[in-house]
Amino acid sequence: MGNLIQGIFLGGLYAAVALGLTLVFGVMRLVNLAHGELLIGSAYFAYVVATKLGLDPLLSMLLVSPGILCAGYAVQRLLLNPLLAFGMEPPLVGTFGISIVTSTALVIAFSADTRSLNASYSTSSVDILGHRVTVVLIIGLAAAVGLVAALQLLLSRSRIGRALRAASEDPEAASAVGVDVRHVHALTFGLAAVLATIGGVLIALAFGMTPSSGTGWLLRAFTVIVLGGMGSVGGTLAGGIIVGIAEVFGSSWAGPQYRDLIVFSLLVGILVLRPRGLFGKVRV
Amino acid sequence: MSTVVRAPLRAASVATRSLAIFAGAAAVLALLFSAPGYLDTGSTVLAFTLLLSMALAQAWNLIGGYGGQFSLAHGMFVGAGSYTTAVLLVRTGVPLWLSVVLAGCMAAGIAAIAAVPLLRLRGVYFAVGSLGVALAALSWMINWTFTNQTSSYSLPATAFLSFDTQYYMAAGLALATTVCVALVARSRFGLRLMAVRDDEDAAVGLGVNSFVVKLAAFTLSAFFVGVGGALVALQKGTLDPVSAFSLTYTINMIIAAVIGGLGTLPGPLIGAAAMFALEEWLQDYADWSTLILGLVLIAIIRLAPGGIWGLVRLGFERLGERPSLELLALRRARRD
Repeated sequence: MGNLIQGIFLGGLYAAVALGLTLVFGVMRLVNLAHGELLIGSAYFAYVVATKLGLDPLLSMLLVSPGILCAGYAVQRLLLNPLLAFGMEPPLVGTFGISIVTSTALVIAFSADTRSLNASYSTSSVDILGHRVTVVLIIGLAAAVGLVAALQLLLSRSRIGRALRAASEDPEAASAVGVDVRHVHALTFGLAAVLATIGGVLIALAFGMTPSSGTGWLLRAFTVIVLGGMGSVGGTLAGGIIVGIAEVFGSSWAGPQYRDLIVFSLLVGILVLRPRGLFGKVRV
Repeated sequence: MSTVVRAPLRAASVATRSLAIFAGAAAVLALLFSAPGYLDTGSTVLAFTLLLSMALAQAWNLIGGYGGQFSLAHGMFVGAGSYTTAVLLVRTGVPLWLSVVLAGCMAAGIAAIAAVPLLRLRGVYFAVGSLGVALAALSWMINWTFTNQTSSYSLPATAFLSFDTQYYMAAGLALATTVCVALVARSRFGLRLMAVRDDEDAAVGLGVNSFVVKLAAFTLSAFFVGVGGALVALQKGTLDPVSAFSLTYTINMIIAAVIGGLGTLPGPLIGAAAMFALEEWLQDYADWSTLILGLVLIAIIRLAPGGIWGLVRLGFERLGERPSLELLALRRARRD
């Protein structure tokens, strides 16, 4: 029971970490190999703002978000949009390049040491049904549920959401009826970068980070979205919780040193057995 | 149209070209063979590093460039090769050369097993799946008591080779890999491989067994990388899982292959040489050279996807062609 509760809350954080990857894949059919560095890089950005201004990490997250949005928009507009026209490999190489550049820049700027964001609540925990759960994980699950709901609402109700779905269904038809697909794609990437900022700050609060930890998080996030059905926003929440539960149960059975092995094996297993994920349909 | 105009020019240039290739190959062989004679020890070690990274990049090029499968698992093959050689030399009486060959076989075997699930995946799924396998292997090695977990694993004193011997091994590997890739590229197998890369469904429709073709290329590529891993182990003398299975190997192979020219024979060699030059120039600022290489990778894929070799070839074609005004007009018309 304790494991189950731990797993659900951990899974919430994983879902928050994976949402940006879901959005980019859902709208553009692009797997962003730089997603891990997007998470970690924006967490470092928030870290700098939090320490320089003496702010709460969650507040500094809000402060850096507009900058991150613009950076994400520019990257998509200037680099990834032109590459998308050339098939599968060029965007893959492009995002791979971004990931190398970002993680190396982080090493140069911050050294390879582990850093973490600290807040008054980051070490405290709360009793839930008689089991201790850290406050950070509670924030993580709340953020994941809130973000999934907000994203669903945005996609289904707003004008920009309609444009996003149209560009996802059929880019050519969408641009024929007046949707600026390049703008929509850039906006998507910017939005995904903001989602990654939230995920990254949660990672830094809960686990700490090094410039090279992005790769592991990319794989965790990818496991989540494969389980949830690539590109499905609601599925991401379910996928995150499944990964969280599997990791907590697996590591209490095999030992905590096998956490990564469990998750990466789960990824390979699920890719082979059910590449469409547990929740089948592939659409935003 | 353009082939008709260029036909007489072609016939003459084929003979010249094969002569040039033959002379070039002879010169390269002579240079490679005699290098330890005039290089000092430090330069011989540097030459070892350069030739090894050429070999690794060329091996990745086979599956990543000609096969179009963006493998992120190749760092694992380096580690598998390194540890196979080390374990064999420590625990058995296998001769050194055999341990190097077996290191390649071990990497190829692991590749063949990993390929069964991985190669059923396409494109991005294959890339991320292979990354998952590589990181799973790393976290397995970190916990494996058989190879001392995270502690270092030392090769026996008998395994220490002279710098010249190490150099010749790396030169041999670079040569063997390049010749093998050249032969593959010209073979029916190579054509099938490139057909799968360009359009897998169409290739399957024409009767190509895409799984078998990709499996063969992946395994062959891993064999050479495993041998390269053995050379890494022999040069370093001690191993640890985090650096032996490092993603850095994968990153370097991909950067070299893409910068030089994906899916071309000289590409990975040129790319590895360019990388080597930059790293030497910025040797006290290793992180900066990685940063620059990452930026160059992005610039190349955005502006010149054919890489350095693609640019060179474009330049040659423009020089050799001297297109008539008529042809230029035709081209302009086609573009519009």
